[in-house]
Amino acid sequence: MKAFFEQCEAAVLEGNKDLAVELARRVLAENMDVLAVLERGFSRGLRRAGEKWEAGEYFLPELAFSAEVMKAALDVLRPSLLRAAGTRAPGGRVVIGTVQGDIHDIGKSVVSTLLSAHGFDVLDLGANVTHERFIDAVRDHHADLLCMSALLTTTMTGQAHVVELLQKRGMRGDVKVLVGGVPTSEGWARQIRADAYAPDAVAAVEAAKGLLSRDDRKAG
Amino acid sequence: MTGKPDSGIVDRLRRGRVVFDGGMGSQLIARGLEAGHPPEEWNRAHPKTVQEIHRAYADAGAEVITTNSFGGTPARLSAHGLGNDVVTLNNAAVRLARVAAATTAAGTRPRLVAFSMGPTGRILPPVGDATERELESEFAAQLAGLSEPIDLVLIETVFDLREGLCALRAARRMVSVPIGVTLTFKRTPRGFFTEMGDRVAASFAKLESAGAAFVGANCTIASSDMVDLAREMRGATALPLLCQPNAGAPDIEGGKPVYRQRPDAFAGDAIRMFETGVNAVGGCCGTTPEFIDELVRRLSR
Repeated sequence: MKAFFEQCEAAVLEGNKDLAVELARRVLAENMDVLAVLERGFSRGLRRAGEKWEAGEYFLPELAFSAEVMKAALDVLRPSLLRAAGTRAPGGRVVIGTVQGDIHDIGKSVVSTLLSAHGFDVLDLGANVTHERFIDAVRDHHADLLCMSALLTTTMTGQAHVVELLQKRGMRGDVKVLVGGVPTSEGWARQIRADAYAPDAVAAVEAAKGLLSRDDRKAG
Repeated sequence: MTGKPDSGIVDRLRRGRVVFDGGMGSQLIARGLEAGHPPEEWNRAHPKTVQEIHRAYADAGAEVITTNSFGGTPARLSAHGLGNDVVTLNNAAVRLARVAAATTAAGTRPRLVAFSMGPTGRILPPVGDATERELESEFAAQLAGLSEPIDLVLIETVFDLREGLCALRAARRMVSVPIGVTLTFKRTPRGFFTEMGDRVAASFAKLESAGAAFVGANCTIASSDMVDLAREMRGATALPLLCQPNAGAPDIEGGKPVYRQRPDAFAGDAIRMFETGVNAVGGCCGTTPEFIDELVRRLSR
């Protein structure tokens, strides 16, 4: 079994989509433990890709390939995964986008892909998202987490406006807010009363997991 | 076609120690440019403010004045509902820089106007779904309507070499002035790379064979890191080099970015860049006319 896990890990790490899909089909055909394969195989490959990115061995293209492969494997496993984890996506529901006036898609798209690869149910609104569209999506999608990116010092205040709007509409208690993007910081997140800041895509996934697991404990 | 074939920039760079201007976007923010507002729109809405910034850099001694056209591709302007104003805003950008460049103090060489082109915001695969053909036509469209003369094109903040090459191909097709390309590198534990993993030497080799007149680095990293990067860049190419670092990493105060670096620290690092063989230095985000003034002062000592 260990060898099989390692194959799954390598398929994601090396960006081998065909192999990953084939392995995922075998998981179903041979009725293996889906959660174990994810955790000790595919997900580990994605984590290692993130580590390589932090070490400067991988860059955005490699990270994007690994995330694509992870998503392909997840697509195959999803039906049986949902049976194993209940009807909700295992990670929680996420709405993500780049704030109004900002057309930078790159960092946000990587975070979006990584989050869905990690099992979150992600609604990606794209770039240049108006404040109202964020609010509508959080409400309609019953989001547990709102992620906002801003790549420009001229647009980052949009994040603050959306948090204020959530407050005004009485929705702030229902959703966690995670902010990121080059000009943002820990201090900025505190200042605008977001729940967390992530300096990069890998950190964003960790922050999302942390925020939503705390949320679960509170609810349970 | 627009511009003069021989602007003298390459010759000046070869002789060394050319000073470019500093940040434009951060200067506009300091004068009230609001969140989400495209800086290029101010070429029409607040031309005096844009010109005042250009003039402050010229007065500080900058030899090259960079147009406020960084986000002037149709893709970026359209995102702000300014898709029909591409020609107007880019021409206005050149006109404003040109006026400031013409105010030459006695005894100095005529100032040059560099036409700035930044990323389109569209991303190539595997991260995004843009095509190289699409990017090349974006840059060509930005240059197509220029009727005002420029002295050089500066393609900046390139984080994907492929997009930089698209811009370079478009510019070579559209104008006859020298074209420089500066990449945005980040420092990793394994050295300097772009976000897409492009390395210094390989990138510069490709840019040179595609016809870049000069290359270099701008944005993201502070001047102290730029000194190290300058050393690596000098070892990687014989082309003239331009370095335009940020004024450190910004802190946020009251919703606005605040850059903490002082002009003397920046100027000290800039001198070190010149000493490693860099041909030109200017500033990117957060740098001000005071930074350029301090640098020019030290060079003339």
